[in-house]
Amino acid sequence: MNHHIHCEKLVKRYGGIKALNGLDLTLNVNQATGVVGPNGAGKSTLFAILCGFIRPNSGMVRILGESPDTSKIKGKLSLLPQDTSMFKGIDVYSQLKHYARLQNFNNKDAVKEVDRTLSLVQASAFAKQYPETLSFGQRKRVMLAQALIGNPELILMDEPTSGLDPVAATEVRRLLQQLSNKVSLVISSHNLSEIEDICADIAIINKGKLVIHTSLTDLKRTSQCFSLRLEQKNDQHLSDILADVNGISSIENDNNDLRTYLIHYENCSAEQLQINILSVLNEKKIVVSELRKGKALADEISAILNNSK
Amino acid sequence: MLNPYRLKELILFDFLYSLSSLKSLVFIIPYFLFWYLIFSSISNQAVEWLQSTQGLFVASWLLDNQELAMQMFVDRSATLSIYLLFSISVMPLFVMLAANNQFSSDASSGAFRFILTRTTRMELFISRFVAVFLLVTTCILITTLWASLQAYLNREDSLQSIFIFGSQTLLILVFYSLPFITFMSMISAFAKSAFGSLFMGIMLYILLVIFIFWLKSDVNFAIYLIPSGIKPILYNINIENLLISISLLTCYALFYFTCGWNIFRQRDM
Repeated sequence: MNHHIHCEKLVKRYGGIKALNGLDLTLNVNQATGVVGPNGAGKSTLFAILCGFIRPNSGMVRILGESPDTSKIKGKLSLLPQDTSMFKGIDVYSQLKHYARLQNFNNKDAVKEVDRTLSLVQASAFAKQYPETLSFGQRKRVMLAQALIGNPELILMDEPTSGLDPVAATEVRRLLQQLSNKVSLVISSHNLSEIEDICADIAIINKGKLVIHTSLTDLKRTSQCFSLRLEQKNDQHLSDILADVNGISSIENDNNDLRTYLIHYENCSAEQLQINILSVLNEKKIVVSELRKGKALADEISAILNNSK
Repeated sequence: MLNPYRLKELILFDFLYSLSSLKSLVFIIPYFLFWYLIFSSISNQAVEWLQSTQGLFVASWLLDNQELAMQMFVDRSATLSIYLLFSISVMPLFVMLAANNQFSSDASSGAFRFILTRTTRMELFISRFVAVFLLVTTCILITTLWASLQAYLNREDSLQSIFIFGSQTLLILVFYSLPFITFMSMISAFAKSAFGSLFMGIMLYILLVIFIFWLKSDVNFAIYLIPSGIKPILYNINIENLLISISLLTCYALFYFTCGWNIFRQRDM
């Protein structure tokens, strides 16, 4: 069976620094997958190797069942790089048309395809400008448009919303959510709420190695706790209020702010416990703004990374 | 495997891009300015002087061959011969100006990242080389036509003879440009910037020439390590020499092309 992405013992060194240190990763991207990890974990290097921009020092890499520089996969894979310049002195529209033609579109269809992708990312207004005259956010949208040309099978996105204003970032996130149902998306991002919104699976990389690859649901299921956030600060500590609720093993007040809590439980039904907690809080007229299973994704990842050290 | 459709699209785009961008203007402007100055100074009087005893003496000394000087400036069109002589001498410099930025700046800026998900490295490497070759060939074609027209207007030979000699000159110059373009493909494949590539290309070529002159007294064939070594064969145009020149120049070009490709395929983009 051909996996979307298959890497074995991948090593990439930059001088004395190992950006990838024997990475093993197999992804079948039936659902959008998020690749996360701290700065320098090797995410961008991995993407660059997958696209054939750089060569690993050792190890094996297959993308869509082929080696990255194989003619067969060209046009089936696309990348939204973190920050890369397009050709200077050529307007954006001509460059996108060129990319479309490289993906076997004839002249007429290439024009249609470019118009379609530009309107998807709301970049039609500045398509006739030179890339060097665009703002960072505009350039990002144009780069997103190029990644969507020709409906590739697999799209790798490195920080898709970084540098965008909040409105544009929300628009792009919405677009990615729609896309995640149609194409295979692999998203690298430091914005974990973005990963939570778009992705179903997650791969955590640290120090050039895969730490864990699992579904977001499973990731949260492993920790038996609830994250609770109250609408307002409550003077009484939650452990006093929920003292009579069965199944709760401990309650942590995250920031000592009497507003955000981590409720640990054991040997009980999570669903029933959730109902019981909400009932007690309702009786005490304490308004809940959020109660969700598991820790916040950032906490989960941080715990995993700490354990992996 | 090469995809002909993608290759054609890449070549066309690169060729049109190079025509409109600064990287080709640094070649086109000096090239045509140089030939304008040369052609405007080749008057009827200059041609007559070259064909005189005094002129032929100087030409024989320069070419180190009296028979060849007679052949070039008396038997054939003097204007076209001067054009051939000058072209071969200045070709390395002009080609370095035209071909120094085949890959360096686009690879460093990351612009190739948008191309490499759609084409293979080999297609990209070949297309950039062909685009520069087309640019250089177009310029050589224009200046050869210019020289032929001037030779015809000076009534240096019959139209048919000028046409034949002009075509042979064009063929030789186009093939002579090939190894220098591939030499710059090789340099540009590892240089980080256009200026760095030009500087390295010129320095490496000068060092090669110095090394060959140093080696020449002990090793006779050392002169043939660079394409300039076969200059005498290029001036002495006949069918046999034409075939030898084309074969040798193709060999030089293939050698540099192979070295350049091996560097480019390993390069981080």
